[in-house]
Amino acid sequence: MRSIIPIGPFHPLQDEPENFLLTVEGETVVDIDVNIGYIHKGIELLAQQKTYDQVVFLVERICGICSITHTVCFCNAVEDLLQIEIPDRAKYIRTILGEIERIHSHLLWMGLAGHFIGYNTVFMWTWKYREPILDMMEFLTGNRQSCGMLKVGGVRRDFDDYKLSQLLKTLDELEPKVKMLAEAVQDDPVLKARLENVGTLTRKDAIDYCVVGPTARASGVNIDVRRDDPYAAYPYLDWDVIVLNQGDVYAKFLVRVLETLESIKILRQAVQKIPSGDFQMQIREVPPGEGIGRYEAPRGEDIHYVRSNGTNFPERLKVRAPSYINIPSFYASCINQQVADVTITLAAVDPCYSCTERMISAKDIRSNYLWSQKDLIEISSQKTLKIASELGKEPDLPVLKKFLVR
Amino acid sequence: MDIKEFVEILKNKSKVEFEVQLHSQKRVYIRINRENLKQIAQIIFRDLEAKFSISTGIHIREGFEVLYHFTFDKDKFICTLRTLAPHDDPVLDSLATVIPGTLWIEREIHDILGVQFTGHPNMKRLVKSEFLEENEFPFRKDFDIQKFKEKHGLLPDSQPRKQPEK
Repeated sequence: MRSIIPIGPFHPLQDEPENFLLTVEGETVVDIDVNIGYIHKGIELLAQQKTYDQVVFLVERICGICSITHTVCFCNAVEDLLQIEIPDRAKYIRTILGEIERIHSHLLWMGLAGHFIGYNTVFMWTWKYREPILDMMEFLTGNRQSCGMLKVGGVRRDFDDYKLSQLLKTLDELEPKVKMLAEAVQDDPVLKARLENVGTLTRKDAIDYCVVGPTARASGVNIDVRRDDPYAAYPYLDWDVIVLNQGDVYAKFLVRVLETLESIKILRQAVQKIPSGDFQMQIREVPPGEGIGRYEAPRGEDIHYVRSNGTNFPERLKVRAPSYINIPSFYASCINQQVADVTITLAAVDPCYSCTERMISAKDIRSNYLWSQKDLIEISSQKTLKIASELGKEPDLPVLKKFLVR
Repeated sequence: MDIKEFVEILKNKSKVEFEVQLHSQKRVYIRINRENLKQIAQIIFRDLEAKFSISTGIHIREGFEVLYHFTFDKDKFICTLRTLAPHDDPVLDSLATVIPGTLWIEREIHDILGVQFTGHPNMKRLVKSEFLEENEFPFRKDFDIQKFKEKHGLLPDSQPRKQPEK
């Protein structure tokens, strides 16, 4: 007998809203349907109404984790349109920022993966190790995330030598911990028993579904944008692409642990080799034309397409985040799995729904009334006022005062 | 294989005419007729082992331009197929049977631009909100955002709508 198990949109484990409909026969999954669109933000259309300088800040807000990813990718696309080469120092600064982001994103996923399989020790460890890296990001740029460091033609602010020496210190502290984690993952019988031969994505399926990043590299597809379409300072540095052949969740876990170690290696070299000089260049105007920018995000290849019509505003911006192309691979990897294994298989591509969608609708089922965004803001404001009056404080937001009349 | 060799191979294998625009050493754009789309995509994806990255839909003067970006990771360049679906007949062949990776993006382009993809197995909405009617497409140039906002009470100074009766 077939039955359908709905997971989401309010997921008990993941923070973002998505909906999976699993068709099961007994305990075995026979079909899966993925519904997205719960956090569509309309960023592509919004970008057409902003200037190139403003779009840099807009794309930074596509995703909370990959803020550097989308900004560098957009800058790469516009620089490809202009056919310019940015100053060397800017390239190294972009590399450093990108790799710090990769380390904290991979540690975040490892923690979540541990949490998904009910192994909270891994979750506690990795998230503890992740904190100093985020603090380092704040020390270098002024913010843990969405730091506003990038612009078309370089970076906005420079690093001084003292800051970079502190980065090396943090890396020295982090490396033994990640190495310990890598050894523990390979030795741990619990992780192996729980993750090996689970959610296997074969090499053929990986190629057919065009998956990218660690998901593809764990299935034996040797791709990495940092090597295949070099940007920033990666061609000047010595590092390896990690490729494994098993294709299961365990291989994906291992790829991410080993990539974290590679990132530490890249960061050390980048700090050592960073040249002095200019860190930005002036861009006077953007001629008509088109450009494609690529970037190896922690989750895989990110690609931006920009078309200019010669004005200050882009004619079209297309954003393809890695999760967008990785999520449909569920159609291949989840079929014939046990229901209990599906949660970790769904999590194994490190899905990021903020990236994947780029309007919110709320419906009152009793009166069949569709709440608009303005209604929702009003309800939220009234609640703030209620809390403020209960606490006996005067709310200081002038916008809220017009609701006081009611 | 560099871009020149790739264009030669594509010409010999497909035996159709197309227009090549070289942007740089790493980027090439190829304009093709929509009848040849499936055939050329098959050659690029299956025979030349490129990876399909994404497609972009743009509303231009002549109709709906759909771009297919293929990345050649070993050879370090990107080939973009440029094809056009005219206003009076916005129909293209679906590539979903050749490349399963196009399943979602074709649904998205249908949502935002209203281009039909014949042969797609499941054409239901992917990202379009229930606010929008079946014949409203936000990325078309004639789509009136101001009117849309007015209709749904999203303008900053418009009157708040009536509360539902409890």
